Amino acid sequence: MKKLTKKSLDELANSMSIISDAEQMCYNGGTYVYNSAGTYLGYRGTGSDVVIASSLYATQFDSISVADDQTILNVLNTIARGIGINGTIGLTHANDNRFAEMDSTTGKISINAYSELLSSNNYYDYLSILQHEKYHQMTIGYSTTWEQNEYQAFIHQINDSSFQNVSVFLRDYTIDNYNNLHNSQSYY
Amino acid sequence: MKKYNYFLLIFLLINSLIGLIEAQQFPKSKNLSEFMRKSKTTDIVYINDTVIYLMNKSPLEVFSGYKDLYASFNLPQPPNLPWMPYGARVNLHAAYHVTWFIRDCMLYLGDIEIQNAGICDYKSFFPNNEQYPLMEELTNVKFDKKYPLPSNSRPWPYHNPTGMMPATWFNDTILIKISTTQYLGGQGRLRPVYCSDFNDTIWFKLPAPPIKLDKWKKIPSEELVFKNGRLISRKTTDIY
Repeated sequence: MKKLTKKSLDELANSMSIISDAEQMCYNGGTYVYNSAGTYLGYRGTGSDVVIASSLYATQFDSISVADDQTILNVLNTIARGIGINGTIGLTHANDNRFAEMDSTTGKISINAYSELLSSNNYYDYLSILQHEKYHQMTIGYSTTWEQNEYQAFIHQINDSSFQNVSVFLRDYTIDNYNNLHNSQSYY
Repeated sequence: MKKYNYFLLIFLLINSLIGLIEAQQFPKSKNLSEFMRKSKTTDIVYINDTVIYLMNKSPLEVFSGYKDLYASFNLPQPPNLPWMPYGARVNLHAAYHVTWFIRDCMLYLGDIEIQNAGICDYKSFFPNNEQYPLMEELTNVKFDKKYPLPSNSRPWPYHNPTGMMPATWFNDTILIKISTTQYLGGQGRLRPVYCSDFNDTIWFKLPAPPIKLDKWKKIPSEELVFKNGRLISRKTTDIY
């Protein structure tokens, strides 16, 4: 039978992997708190999830990913205003897993309520995608192809500080979409 | 000797010219999916009613004009490049796409989806479900109540009010590859959304996180062979 022994903290420190600050933020958890009208109430703990509550330290709260459409819209519009997006954000219910889009005739940015983006419940995911769409909004009418514009939007998105804290799946998919555009000027 | 020096000089000049031309080109991609490059349709197919696969071509291709079948209905045009996770869907321009099903080795046309309309807003384009009789006219096959649509393949109901259409015209080979996004019951708590088309509130779970790309890229596509709509061969390919 194997003998069980205790390890000292020094021994543990040598054998356990080191967790980066960014990883610690994810593990510790933390919360951006909004009320249902979309008013930002504050931040508590460390992390990146978004909840709806009546006050910053309310014990009753809910994740934005299960909120009703109007509450989601209110919160997204507050985030969008904070980064200088023009107009209001729309909510679509598309069946093809798109995360977001920008209507090139009206400039309106919409987020898909049925996508994994909303499931991620990650403040930085929302911020990062909105930065991407903001670039499209800022460059309406530029004489580039859509593929070139999309490529530049990914560069804008990746360069924004929000990208440091996006979820792993959004980071991977963003980089992959970017790589495809970089290498072949297409998504394929 | 002098003659050989000339040959060597010409060889070096050609070599450096080729190098210069190659340097101007985009590098060959390491990430691209060959299947995605081959795919020319936004149609999807469910196998066993639950798992979503992408397709390389639509079984409707045999009918000329199928892309413009609903041209008179002024369907909304999709945005040029919506932000979409790679491998979730084939990101092409199309006014509509078809959801297919393979059940008991038979291919069925399950439903007709407007590419750029909310899933609860189809009635504003097809107030009397005009899309279905027009599809029957195109294919000369009827939607049939004998082949009901599954109730659990996705979080929202299908619009097709009758049943599926067996694709008896289809005698061809298609490639399929699993989509990175699957519903499979979704995740989290149920979320209510009022749906005007159904005049009801729909409760649904959000999709689970997509399949990790590294894993997805290593999944080969499959070749399906059909005869009169019946699947007669299914084999793995070396197309990724």
